[in-house]
Amino acid sequence: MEMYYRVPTWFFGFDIGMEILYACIAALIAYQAYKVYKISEEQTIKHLTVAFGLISLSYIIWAGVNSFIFNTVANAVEGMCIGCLRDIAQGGLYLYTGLFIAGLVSLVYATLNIKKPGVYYLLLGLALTIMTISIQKFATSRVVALFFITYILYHYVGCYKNTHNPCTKTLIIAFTLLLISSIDFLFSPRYYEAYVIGHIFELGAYATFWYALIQIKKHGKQKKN
Amino acid sequence: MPPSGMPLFKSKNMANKKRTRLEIIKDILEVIKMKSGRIKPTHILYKSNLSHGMMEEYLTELKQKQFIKEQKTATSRTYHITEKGIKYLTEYQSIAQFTSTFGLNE
Repeated sequence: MEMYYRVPTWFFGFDIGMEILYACIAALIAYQAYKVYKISEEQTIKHLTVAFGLISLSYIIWAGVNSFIFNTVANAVEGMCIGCLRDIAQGGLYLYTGLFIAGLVSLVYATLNIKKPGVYYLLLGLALTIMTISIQKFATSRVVALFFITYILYHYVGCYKNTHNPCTKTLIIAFTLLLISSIDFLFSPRYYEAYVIGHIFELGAYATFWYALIQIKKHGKQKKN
Repeated sequence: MPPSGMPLFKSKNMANKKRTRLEIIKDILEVIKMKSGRIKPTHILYKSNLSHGMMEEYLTELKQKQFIKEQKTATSRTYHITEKGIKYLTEYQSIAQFTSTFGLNE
């Protein structure tokens, strides 16, 4: 049986709150991207909207799964068999990883700047197939996510070298923190500290995303004036 | 205003770097707006500093997006900017900042 992650009992609840916060920030970016898309009607911005929308949804699912486990264990729901509990949690976690990877694929596709939907479906199909046929599905999905985040980070470093945009630098910091958290989560089935540290790095990443969003708005307004 | 006969955006945008797609769209819309909202394609071609093929591609896209409207007569065709096009120009800096940050510039 696959071990997903170990959670220290004192951290139950905090993790759910953090995941909801990540979902809110990702949704905020998606909303901002949607507003820009409505004016510009640029396809790449539409993909960015979809990307952060999917990432936001994935965190809601993850928070839901953790909340379900927390409530079931805390209230010791009578008549609920261990098998059922495991199946529901497992299904939820696969849905979370599937949506998160779909979000990252959308982000990668947006940065590739090509108008071939076939490439998008190829990337998504490959990522989900690898995840599905693997015995350690959850761990494999973490590795796949790591791979995509590394590519996105590489893309932003390249962009920063060309534009020297301070907001892009903030995004680089955010994706670096997300990368560290993804590496850290790989160890969470063995060490519960890894789960906590992973969440803290992820919190740092989303706080930086939020700061980047504020910076974008500020710089946009300054240039307008 | 630049002297007559000089491409409008050359000195500002084209001297040092290649323009992005969003910049080209902005330049075309600005040209149309400056001409009191009505302009012939030959003027757009000259003022926006594009090849004929590229200009036609952009005009088709802008028509699809309803940023501009085309009016055809028996002898000529003219373009005028729509509310959506003006909105794009107003919000251009925010759009450019957003796309540049997320590395979506073409």
